[in-house]
Amino acid sequence: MTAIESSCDNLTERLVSLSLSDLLAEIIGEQNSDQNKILATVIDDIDEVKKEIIEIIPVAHHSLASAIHTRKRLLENKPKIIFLEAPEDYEHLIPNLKHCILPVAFQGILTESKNIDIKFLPIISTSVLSEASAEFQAIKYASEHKDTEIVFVDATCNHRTKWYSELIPKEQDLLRIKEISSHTVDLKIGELYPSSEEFLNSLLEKSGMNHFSEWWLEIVENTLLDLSFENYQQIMILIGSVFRRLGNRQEVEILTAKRDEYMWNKIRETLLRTKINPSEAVFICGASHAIKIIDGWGTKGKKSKNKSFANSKWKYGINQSDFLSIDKQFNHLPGITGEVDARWEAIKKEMYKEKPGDYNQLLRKYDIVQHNQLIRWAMNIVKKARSKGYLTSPADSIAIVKITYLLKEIRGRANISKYDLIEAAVTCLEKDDPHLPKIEDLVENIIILNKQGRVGYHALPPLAQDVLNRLSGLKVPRDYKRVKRVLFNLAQQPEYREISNLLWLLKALNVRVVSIVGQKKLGYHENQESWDIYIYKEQNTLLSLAHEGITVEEVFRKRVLKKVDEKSTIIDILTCIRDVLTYLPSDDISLMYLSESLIGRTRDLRFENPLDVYNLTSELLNYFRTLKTGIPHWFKEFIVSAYRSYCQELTSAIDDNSFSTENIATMFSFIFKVESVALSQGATREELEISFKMINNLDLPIGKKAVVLAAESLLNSEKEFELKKVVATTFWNPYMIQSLSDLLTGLIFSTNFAPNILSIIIELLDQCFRLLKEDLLHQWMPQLINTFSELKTEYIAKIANDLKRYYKGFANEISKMSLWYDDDYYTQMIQTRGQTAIQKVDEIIAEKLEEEISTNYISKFITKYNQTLQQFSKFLDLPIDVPSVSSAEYSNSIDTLLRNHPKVIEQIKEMMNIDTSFVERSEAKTINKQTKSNSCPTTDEGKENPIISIIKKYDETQKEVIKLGGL
Amino acid sequence: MSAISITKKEVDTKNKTKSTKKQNSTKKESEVILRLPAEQRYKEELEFLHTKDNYPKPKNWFLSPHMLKIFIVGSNKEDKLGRNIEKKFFGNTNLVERAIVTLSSDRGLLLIGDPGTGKSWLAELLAAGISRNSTLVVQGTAATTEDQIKYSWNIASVIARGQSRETLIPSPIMQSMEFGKLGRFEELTRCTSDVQDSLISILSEKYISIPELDDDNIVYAKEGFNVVATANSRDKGVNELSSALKRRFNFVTIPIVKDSETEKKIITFRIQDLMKKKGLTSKIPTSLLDILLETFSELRIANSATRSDSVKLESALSTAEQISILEDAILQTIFFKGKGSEEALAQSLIGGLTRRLPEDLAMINKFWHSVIQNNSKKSPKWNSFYSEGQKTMKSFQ
Repeated sequence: MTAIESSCDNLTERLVSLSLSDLLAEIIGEQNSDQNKILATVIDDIDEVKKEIIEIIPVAHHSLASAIHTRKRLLENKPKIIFLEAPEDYEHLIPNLKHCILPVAFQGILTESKNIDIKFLPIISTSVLSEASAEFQAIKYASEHKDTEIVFVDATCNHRTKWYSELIPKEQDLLRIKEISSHTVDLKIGELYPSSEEFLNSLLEKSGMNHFSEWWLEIVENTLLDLSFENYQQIMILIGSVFRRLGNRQEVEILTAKRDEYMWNKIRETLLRTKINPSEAVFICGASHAIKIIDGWGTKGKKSKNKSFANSKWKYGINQSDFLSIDKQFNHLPGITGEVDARWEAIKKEMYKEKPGDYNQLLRKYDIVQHNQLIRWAMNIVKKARSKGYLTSPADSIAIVKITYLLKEIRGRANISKYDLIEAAVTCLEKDDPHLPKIEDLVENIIILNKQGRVGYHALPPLAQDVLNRLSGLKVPRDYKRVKRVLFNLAQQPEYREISNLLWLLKALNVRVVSIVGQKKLGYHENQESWDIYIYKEQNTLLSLAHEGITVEEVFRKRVLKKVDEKSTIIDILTCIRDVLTYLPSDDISLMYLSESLIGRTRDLRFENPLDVYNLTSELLNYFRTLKTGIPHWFKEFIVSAYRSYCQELTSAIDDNSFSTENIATMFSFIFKVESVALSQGATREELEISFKMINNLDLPIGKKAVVLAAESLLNSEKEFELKKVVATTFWNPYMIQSLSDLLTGLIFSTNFAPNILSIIIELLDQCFRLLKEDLLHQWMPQLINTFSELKTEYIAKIANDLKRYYKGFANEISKMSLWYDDDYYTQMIQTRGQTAIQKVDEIIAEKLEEEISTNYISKFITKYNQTLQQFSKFLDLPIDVPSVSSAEYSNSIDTLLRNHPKVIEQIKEMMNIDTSFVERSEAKTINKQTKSNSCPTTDEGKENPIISIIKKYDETQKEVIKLGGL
Repeated sequence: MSAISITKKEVDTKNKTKSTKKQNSTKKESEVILRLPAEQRYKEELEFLHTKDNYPKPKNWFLSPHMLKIFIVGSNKEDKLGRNIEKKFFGNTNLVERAIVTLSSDRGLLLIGDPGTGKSWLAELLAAGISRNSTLVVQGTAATTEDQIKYSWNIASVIARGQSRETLIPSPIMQSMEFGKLGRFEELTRCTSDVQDSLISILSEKYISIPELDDDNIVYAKEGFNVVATANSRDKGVNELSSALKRRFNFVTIPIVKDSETEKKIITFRIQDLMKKKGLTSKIPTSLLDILLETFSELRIANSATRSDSVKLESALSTAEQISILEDAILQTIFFKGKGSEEALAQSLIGGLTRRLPEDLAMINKFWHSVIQNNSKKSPKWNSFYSEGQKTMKSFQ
């Protein structure tokens, strides 16, 4: 038997518990010679490590065995220098760790770079530390032993990012692109995970495991715990060698090789500089880095120089982390890191002694503790399942515990695994009911241990410290970890005003502070405020700002000013100005910069949304007017410039079909709103007048025409009359009736700058409901309602109030029943006589009235009007009590009544307070006629009006009268 | 899987002698018996594992849970057995572990899943490994009565000698209780609910009382007794288990094998086994297996894409169906020389899957003229399969 074969057999003996030899056979085929070759290479790797002067401790991330062996070895050997596989630009953060509660993450943020496309920035590089990790144990050892130096030797964040980005074009790897574009570059210290999927699947299949972390825990970790350091080292090198040589994708290998070269260069440089003997040094690295692949590996390896990249600026700090985030980052099953940490806690005290004793016994005790924990978990699972619809009972808890132990036995595990518990729960509780939620999902939330780390005050970046200092008025202790609710009454507690301002600023920067009561507007001060402050619990939300500045004001200012560049619109700039005035009112420098940005932009004002321009300008103008200093000069200049621009652009805007009526109205609103300021700064109305002249030559749609006339009416009162003419023309022309909505819309928009228009609107609506034939009105009503519903509420609110006032007048208008006309007759009249018919309409109808009994008209009108009234009242939410009988019946009953007692008409009119002066003339004749043949009794009984007595006498009559009068 | 029921005589105390005789004649019987139960077929393996078994085991179990697992899912080097134990059940090992540990607890095991997923086979293997007897089976049907679950009477003997333990005919479940064995209940959900519920007291109290007798009227279950039941999730004749009965079972769902590599292994294993039994040594052409697997895979996709049940194929498209179709095709090519294997496969497939006319035929027709036609354009190995399929479908019309 050759030496290699002999050593392979020995190796196979050692490997057999890990099934690696089987695995090798599966991967490389059944041929022994290949298998032996691989094993021979692995043996060489072990030998290289043994030959190397520096002691190499190969580790795996967040591994209990690695943490234990690292701690023990360091205590045994007491090295003078520890080289740790960690980015060297994180080294300066070590002193801050003492203020933190693990897990936390070293973080680097790249905000500016000449090499990386800005769309990928900022890039965040994260390295997580937990207590049960070799890396942290190394750092802790160095902090405890002052004569031991610790040096981070891995490539900087800059290097890694550059190497990642170089790999992308070659590999077209979407994962990599996603990694960069998601702005996170995960630096997994001590990662030992095969990147080849084929390798991983093969590994899991052979071992019967479902997940790599399960394989690691069951096959490797538990074995390593009981071994000596030498055996531990050899096994880790074996794993590292197999994973690196057989289980890695090519691009991962390229990156790993570059990092190896970097680390060994750094190690050699440091040894040269410090003149420390390599035998007194220790190198702690991931097991795959302990393998000699490159020429530069080892203290005697080929030397080269590490390039530095100066074009990128990174900022560093410590951030909060938690176990679940670590699990996610390292592709663990959820709960693995929590489990490792729990086991470390069980042996921590022993391990932190200068000479740690038997920790295995403590771990066994922990297993016993786990039994009680298992029972609690089983009970909680059963309880939760029951709450979700499963018919569970305590018997199921017993069954779950029993099955968990049985699964542990059959799988040959040393300890209960959470996965055994999950499978036991599924086996005992799931009963093939597709309507119930899966047990697996319910269980995970119960059994997974998670812990959130904490960055202590002294380790916080300046911005976070500043915020906490400024919030100290809330009397919250520095180690507060919960959500803080605060209530302010700023009128009585003005000392909280500063805190309030700070909280609003944080909210504007998307930091997690939630305003429950209160609001922040320009020039507006709230007295009552209530907040939920999450920054004590979720430090990340505040720490995410830290790289942008020293204070929140600085961050806010930077963000606001960043929004302004050559391509910014006026709206953008005005918005920034408003924001600065709202949140940083004393920031004159920013205001100056923003105000200068406004210059020269008004030439493109037409292309911006006039409504936004108007709203922002109004808001700012109203605000400046409240200040003692008044309107600043630069704003006045802007107003003048904008005023002139709008005046000039009016004609083209109105002529542009894409420019809506509302936009036109808003332009006029702007013009008239700022006119006083503009005129005081030297502008004149000339341009506006010229624009009006030019506009008048255009053939405008009715809505825009109304707006223009409304605007002109402010300069020239005759235009109001012209507007009324337009309104009347549109109204009385049955072919134009459909454009009434546009007209009305235009008028309503105009009320913004011309309040006098309101009376025209009221009049128009009044006429519509009074005069339009029912069927026309019904046709038009939906359009009208749509028009109103599409208008903004502020417009509706404005006119609705006035409409309500004018409603009372509607009842009075009933009297003008003479204007009730016959359809055909009227249409014919209009066609033949046109608008002049309007003037003669009264006379014509009066003639008609003489011909027919007026009662018919009254009754018809009342009933028909009621229906119309109903619709309109509903829309405006006005109360009108109308009878529910059919119109025909109602009409007939009233008709009969009135015919029998014509004098009642007068009484009704009196009670309804109707002005019948016009009608009386014609009716008088009719009534007189009837009176002659009237059988209505007259009486000389007292002074009582005979009509009243009639009313009293005839109950039926009385009821109708009461109804009519709305009494 | 058809059950072979054994009368009381064969499990009498003199069984040992008879079983010895039986062992001696196994070789002869195997030439006659169509299908040996698993404990007979893998007898040598079971005995070998038994000799190597140093693991803790529940009372009355022939193999420990650890060895039983190896018996079912196969061995590897780290088991250090010195020989290979072949894999008999191709599925998730976790599933097998859960089934085994359930049987060692006080709850019964209910294997549930689609038809043809290997539930009965797993139940048989478990019974063979635990009790060395997989024949204590109750077959559930709509006509199953409580007598068949508990006990019945030999009427002639009762008339002659009156009621006694001698004239009682114990059911397979009662026998398994008496001797501490694993009882099997196939297609539990096909029985009516009131018949199913007779299992409740058996699984809870672990005894059956015989009220007709004055003495010796309780049969207590010995250690090692348990019940493994199977049920189809798809069956239209299903009677839902009561919650009381569900509580006494642990459910283990056997999924359909979706991984094509595993499915290939299963089919190869089973076909080779079937061929061996028939004394045939024909090898399965790889291309034939690939065509079959690909066709089934695409059929499953097409079937699941249809929303209406009336348009879906009635067949479950299980691995068992594939095995039977392939077996049919291979036998055709062996016994009817001149017929190509692809042609035989096409005939067998369409014949096997067309259960409802015209619904199934319409679906297969559509599938054939879209997917299979497409495949035949891409690769010539599909040509004869495609054309024979068309002919077969025409013959149905």
